[in-house]
Amino acid sequence: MNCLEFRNRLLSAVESQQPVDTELLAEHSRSCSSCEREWQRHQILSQAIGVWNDAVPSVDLADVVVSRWLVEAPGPISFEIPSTSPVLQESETNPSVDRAETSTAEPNVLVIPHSSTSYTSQPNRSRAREVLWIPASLLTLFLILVWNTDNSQLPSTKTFTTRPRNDAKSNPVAKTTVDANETGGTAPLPQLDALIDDMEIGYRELAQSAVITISDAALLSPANENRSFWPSMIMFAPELDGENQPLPETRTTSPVSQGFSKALDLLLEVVPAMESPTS
Amino acid sequence: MNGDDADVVRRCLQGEVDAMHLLVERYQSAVFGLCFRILGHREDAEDTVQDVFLRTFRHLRKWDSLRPFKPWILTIAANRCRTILEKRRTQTKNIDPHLGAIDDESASKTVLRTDLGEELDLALGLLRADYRICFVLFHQQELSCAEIARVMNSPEGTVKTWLHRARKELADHFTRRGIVPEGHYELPRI
Repeated sequence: MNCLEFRNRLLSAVESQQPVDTELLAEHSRSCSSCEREWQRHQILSQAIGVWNDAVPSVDLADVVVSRWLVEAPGPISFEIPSTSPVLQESETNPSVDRAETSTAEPNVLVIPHSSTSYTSQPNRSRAREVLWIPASLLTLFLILVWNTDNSQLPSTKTFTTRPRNDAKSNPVAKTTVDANETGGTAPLPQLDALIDDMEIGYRELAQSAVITISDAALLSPANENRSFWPSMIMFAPELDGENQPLPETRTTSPVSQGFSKALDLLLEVVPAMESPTS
Repeated sequence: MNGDDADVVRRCLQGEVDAMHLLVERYQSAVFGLCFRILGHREDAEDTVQDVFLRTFRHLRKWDSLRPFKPWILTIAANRCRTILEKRRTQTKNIDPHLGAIDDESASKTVLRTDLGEELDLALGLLRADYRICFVLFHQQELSCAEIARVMNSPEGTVKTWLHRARKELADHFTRRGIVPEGHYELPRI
């Protein structure tokens, strides 16, 4: 066995949590001073880990945790139960369960109140929640429709793709929010930010198209009949054309409305000029 | 165990207090062991365990029942510990930058076997938070590198690097303290 093989064997045994082939490695370590030192370090660490693992004190925090949960939980905690759930079936068949409470309640909702382990029903709350679902659904539907309408107005030749920003995976300790990370949740903010960026770029391009169209239209007026080129010849230069251009890394700080106001200014300039031949 | 966990979690979601009890009893040792070893302080660890279980109950719906429950709850615990360590680090930096430094010169050449655990705890306290969490998850919770990678939301290769660096720094600590393995004899030099 050579030194490289010695180290590889030691490394793979540690990583795979398998027992080390002590005889073989010890034999090599006797013939090589650097491997001997490595072997000693491994041995002392293994001994320490063995002692360290045995010395964890035991705890019993079940009562504390559950009572804290029942006291500190924010407001009554409701649990929606499917109609076929075993608990409900038990309440239907088991006479020890308080039927007076469950008979007047909504059939599928139980509520745990503050600082109590018993279940009570609150039909009004659940009914109010059911009523709230209707406007909430309608609002969501409305927002989806508005979103689709806005998207259909974007230039059809461009493809807009969202891209994640502040990639948390590249940095293991990066956190968007503490709570989201601690519970393994995903933070939607970077995606939302990218989406807003893409929308902004879309609207900018829409404004730019409006400027070009109106500029071209302005050339039709008698005042500009000697012009030899059209604005779109410049503005649709090859380097600006093309789909799926990489999105700019830096955001411009000028508001989107500036593009539209530019278009409006041009329109106002064109309108009197268009009127002049008819007058 | 996973199917059993799913059943207990389902009962917790239905509001059964007994199921909550059962869930805490089942995982409190693992969670406490992790917190105790990472934080190195019993009272802090107990408080953290309570926090972890409260967060677990709060977000129980997010658990994917197709995956094992233990890594999921250990993820919450590890992240909670990391947050506490970060807070501690900023606080101690403001108070005393030399807090926790070890006087190597005063170390005894012979350390009893029972003290090895304490020495390891001491050395762990000096490690970077990521190394420490990685080491505890590997050697105490006996999770594989792949599982630790999922818990720490990092690539497996990074986890292996952290693990080896942690082991190296701990071994360096023992070397600096002049601790030699039990039953080790200096080999005669020819």
